[in-house]
Amino acid sequence: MKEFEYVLGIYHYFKPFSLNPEPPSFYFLYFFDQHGFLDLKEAQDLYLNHFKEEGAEKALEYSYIGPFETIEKLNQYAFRLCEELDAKKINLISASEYNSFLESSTQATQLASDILEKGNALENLDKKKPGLFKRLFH
Amino acid sequence: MSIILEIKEEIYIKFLATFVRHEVLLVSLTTPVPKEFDSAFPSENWFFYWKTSASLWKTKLSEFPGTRIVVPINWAFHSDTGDKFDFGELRPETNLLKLVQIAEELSRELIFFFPLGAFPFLANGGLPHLLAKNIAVNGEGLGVHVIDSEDNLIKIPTFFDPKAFEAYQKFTHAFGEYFRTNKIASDVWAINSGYFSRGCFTSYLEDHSNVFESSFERYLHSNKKDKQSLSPIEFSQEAYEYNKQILDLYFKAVKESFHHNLEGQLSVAFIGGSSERVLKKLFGSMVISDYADEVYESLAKDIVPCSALVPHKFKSGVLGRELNDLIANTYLPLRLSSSAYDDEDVSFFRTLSFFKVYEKVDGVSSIFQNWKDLELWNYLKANFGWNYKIVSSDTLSLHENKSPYQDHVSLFHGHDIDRTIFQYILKAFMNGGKIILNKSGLTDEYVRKFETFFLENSLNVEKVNHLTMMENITLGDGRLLMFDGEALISKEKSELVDFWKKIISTFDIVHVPIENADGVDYFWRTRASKTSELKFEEVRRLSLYNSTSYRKKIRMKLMKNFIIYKVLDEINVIVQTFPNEVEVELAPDGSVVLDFGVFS
Repeated sequence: MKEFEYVLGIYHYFKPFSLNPEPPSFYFLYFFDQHGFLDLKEAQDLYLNHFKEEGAEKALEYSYIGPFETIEKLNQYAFRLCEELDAKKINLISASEYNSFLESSTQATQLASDILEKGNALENLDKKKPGLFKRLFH
Repeated sequence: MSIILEIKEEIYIKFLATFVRHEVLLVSLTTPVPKEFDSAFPSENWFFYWKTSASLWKTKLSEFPGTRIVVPINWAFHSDTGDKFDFGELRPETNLLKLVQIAEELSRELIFFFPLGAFPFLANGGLPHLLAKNIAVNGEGLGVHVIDSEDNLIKIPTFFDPKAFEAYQKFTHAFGEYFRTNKIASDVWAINSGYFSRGCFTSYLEDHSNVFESSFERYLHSNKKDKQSLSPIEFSQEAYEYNKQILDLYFKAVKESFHHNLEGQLSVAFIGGSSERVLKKLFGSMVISDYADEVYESLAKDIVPCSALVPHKFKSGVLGRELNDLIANTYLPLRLSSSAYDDEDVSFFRTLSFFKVYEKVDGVSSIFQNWKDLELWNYLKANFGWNYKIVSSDTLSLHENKSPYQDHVSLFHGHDIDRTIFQYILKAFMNGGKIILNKSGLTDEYVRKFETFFLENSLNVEKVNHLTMMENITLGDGRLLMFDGEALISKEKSELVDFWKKIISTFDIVHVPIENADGVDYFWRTRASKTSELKFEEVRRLSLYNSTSYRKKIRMKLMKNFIIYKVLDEINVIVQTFPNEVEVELAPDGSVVLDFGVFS
């Protein structure tokens, strides 16, 4: 099974499809893990089974996860995703936080480390430290 | 060594001759190969004059393998403040007259690319730093930024700031004056730089920042419109129109300054330049196929791709060969030639398109039935690779002339039909063109116009029902097939793919289908036969590139009017030819070029 050191989610409060009548909402734009873009299958299933709101299908077509009516619902979803993936933590960054990291960085490496270190981290406390056996064979 | 090679070649030819009825010529590396990486020549024929000392210009240009060199203009390099300009008075590297003179001396032709807004490979997109105050924001609320090939973070400022536009006008004026005074006759293209995001080309000029919002509100106010009272469709139309007007404003400034030199406006897609790609780069997970897909997407949309943002390590293998063969030596020279699609230079291969699919870009057409809903792209990619064109109102004029050795099928949606498209369809049909029209969204006015046209010309309309009602009209070689797309909405994806398979098979497209090509990039080009090749009507060139880390074996069954003619530029590949079949085994990073003679 794939091990997740961390999961990183970038979200934004907006109206992604200007032609649709729905009001603005929170959407996850991108999810990453230590290997790159997260395979969205599990994240999409979790959303559709437990958090689905109107307009979800169109968002999924664009690889967005949402809409979420409130930031609390978005946080609940993120924490649940962290548990489902058995990741140690999930780091959440809003588009405006991302932009402030961008403003203060000149090198790509600096921006990457700011994103990883300064986001809003939700720790998965149930995630046990691997035992000696697991550490030896992974 | 050369004797061994000759013997090997002889054995190989004998080996092939046992299978192939016609002669196969073995030639190596026919296309000019770029030399080792040079930061002054970072991508396909582009020369960054500010990256090297003026004293080295002559050496650099003389080492360049081609004749046409693209020179992008670095605005901030000529002006720190946006008020005063340097054209060689202070720094010799800003002396473009000297660069032009050196090029003439070396029989090279310089083509200047003048930015309409940003060039994403330059700090602040090329805007002088005093003017770069606010970063542009994309549709996802993220600041517009890219990572250049040296890992620098480049933030693209908004060009909706009136001060930026004023400064731009001054610069274009000064630049135009410099060209006129010094009698520089080189071609100038106005470049709309952009990137591909989710299959759509987006200009770096597009912005959603507060600066844009306030200027858009002023625009709506001046047109006596209120943002709150607009419907979503009206709002999208207005926003699209406003963005277009601003781009036109920048273009007008260039047009007024360059009179005779200006060749026109060109869209350039910077590969790896979207925020999705930037994030992938940040976390080190970009792979060659991410870049290659954007190159082919650009070719399909007639947008010039540029790899200036792609790190060199990605271009040292198969991707570098793809860029060199398809862009530097085929597409770019054709696109920059004013008579690109009329030019009958028989030695030159041009891109081969079996389909020309029209898609209107106006900010609202996406709400109507589109080709993706009808599974057309999946069908075309699986059966014809990237050998189709997506034509928009901006590029329609490029496709008006039908090349004699390049038959294609044009596809249109009813909701895109206006006077121009209607006339285009009738003209193409009467000249022997093949058209498929999805009647979905066709207005009553144009339904009547088509009916009148059929009646006036006594054309017989055959009707067939297969998943939907289809009408077939023929006139000489011309054929118009109309179907009702609305009836296809409820159909399964596999049924839709089957639908396309059936109707496209009735067009008798002369083509070699490729089997098991998953993960292999392939692209067809074509040229007329030379006087020494009169047994053929046409020569088709197939380039195959394996960007995966697996061995790939692909097979091609040849139609009776195709023969394999040359095998070129073999790298990590085994090509075997059998009667009516070719098998190509590509190792990772392998590539090969196959030429086919086509006769009737």
